Amino acid sequence: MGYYYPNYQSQYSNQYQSQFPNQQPQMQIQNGGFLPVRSRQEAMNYPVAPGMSVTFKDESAPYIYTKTKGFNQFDEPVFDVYKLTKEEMPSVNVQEAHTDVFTDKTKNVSQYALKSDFEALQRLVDILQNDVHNLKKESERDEPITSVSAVSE
Amino acid sequence: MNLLQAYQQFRSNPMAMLMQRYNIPQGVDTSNPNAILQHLLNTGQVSQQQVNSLQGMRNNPAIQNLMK
Repeated sequence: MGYYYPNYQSQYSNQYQSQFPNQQPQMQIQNGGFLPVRSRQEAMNYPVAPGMSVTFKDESAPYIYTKTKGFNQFDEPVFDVYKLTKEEMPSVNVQEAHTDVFTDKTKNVSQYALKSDFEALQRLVDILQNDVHNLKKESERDEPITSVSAVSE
Repeated sequence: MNLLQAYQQFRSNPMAMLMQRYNIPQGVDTSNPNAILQHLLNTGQVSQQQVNSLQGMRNNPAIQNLMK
């Protein structure tokens, strides 16, 4: 006994067509796994399902293989070989990079003051503060004279 | 049939057990396990994941010792 829902089916198909008017179902090769093998021959003989691509890591040599089979079961599988090469990473001395800020050409160091410059300025400010303090004291002592001069005016 | 009997039957005639479960036509080279697996994959009787796990079992030393 079969069931048939004509309204539901037509509604669904209309909705699908309106959302994707020109899009057709697209078949994509799927990843069929990552497997260790002992030799290239073992990878070449490995059975692969239609529409699948299996990746192999050779355990005895620095090679990666992929075997891809098309969607037609009578298609010949495509076998690719990739050689692994070690990439040399540039060595960076982290301590030098942090301490030697003023030799870094990328930074504009003209905006920065040296500690010795700052200490010289601090000494100058101290001297000026002392001078101001002394001048205040002198002016307090000379105050009667100024008051006299103020009176003479 | 217990597990040991099933194993002994499989050792004596593996194709008979395979034929009970899977549809393997006469044209397939039954002396080549990969050819059988390829046929089962092509006809959708097994998945790639099942074949991969079988390969993992085949490379397992414990199972290799058992099959000796």
